Amino acid sequence: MFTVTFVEPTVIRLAGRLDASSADQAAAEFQKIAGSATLDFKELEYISSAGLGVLFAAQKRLKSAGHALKLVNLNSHLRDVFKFARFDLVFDIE
Amino acid sequence: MERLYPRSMETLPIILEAVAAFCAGHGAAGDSTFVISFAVEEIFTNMVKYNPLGPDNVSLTLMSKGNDLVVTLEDEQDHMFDPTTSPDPEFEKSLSERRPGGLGLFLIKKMVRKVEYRREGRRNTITLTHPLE
Repeated sequence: MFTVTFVEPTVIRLAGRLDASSADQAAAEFQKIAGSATLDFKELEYISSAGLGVLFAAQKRLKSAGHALKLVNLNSHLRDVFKFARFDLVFDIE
Repeated sequence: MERLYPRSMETLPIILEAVAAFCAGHGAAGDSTFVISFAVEEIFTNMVKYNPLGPDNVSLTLMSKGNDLVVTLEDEQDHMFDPTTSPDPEFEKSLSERRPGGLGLFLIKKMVRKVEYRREGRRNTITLTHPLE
């Protein structure tokens, strides 16, 4: 189960599991982000490389237009994955 | 415990549930469950995507050995699938030039304590060993 909730146009809450089964759904939701925004990971339990790829593509698209995604409330597993993937150089992570 | 799973992305949630249940049943820490789930998903997904004409099923074996979790995935295909020698992602490139390819296998090598590969005939066997705690 994976859900994306636009709490505000620039605050987006992710919940559940962002894996290969939910990556297409996530990509479609992230296409709706038109400017800089904050992704709240508080309720995101799991991410796979398919999920990382979707996030990476969204950041690449937004940065090419002068915007960026900020990631907040990552659990310790996700924080490790992002560090190993060197996504801490690609995203502002709080 | 060896089980055969249909070569389909629709099987993935079933596999991940089996991994989570096995980990929980053997007292695995949350970190270990996360790492093993990540690795199994990545390898199974590769087997589905890059060996679409392979046998109907992929074999997954979950075992505990001492304080370790030992996971084996086996598949038959014409070419090698050796995650231990996959190239690292293009970290040196700028964001606009960088592609996300290769990240999953790289992360497996970073996170799983031991990753082994064996090829016998057309059979690729990948074994992951990771502490339960």
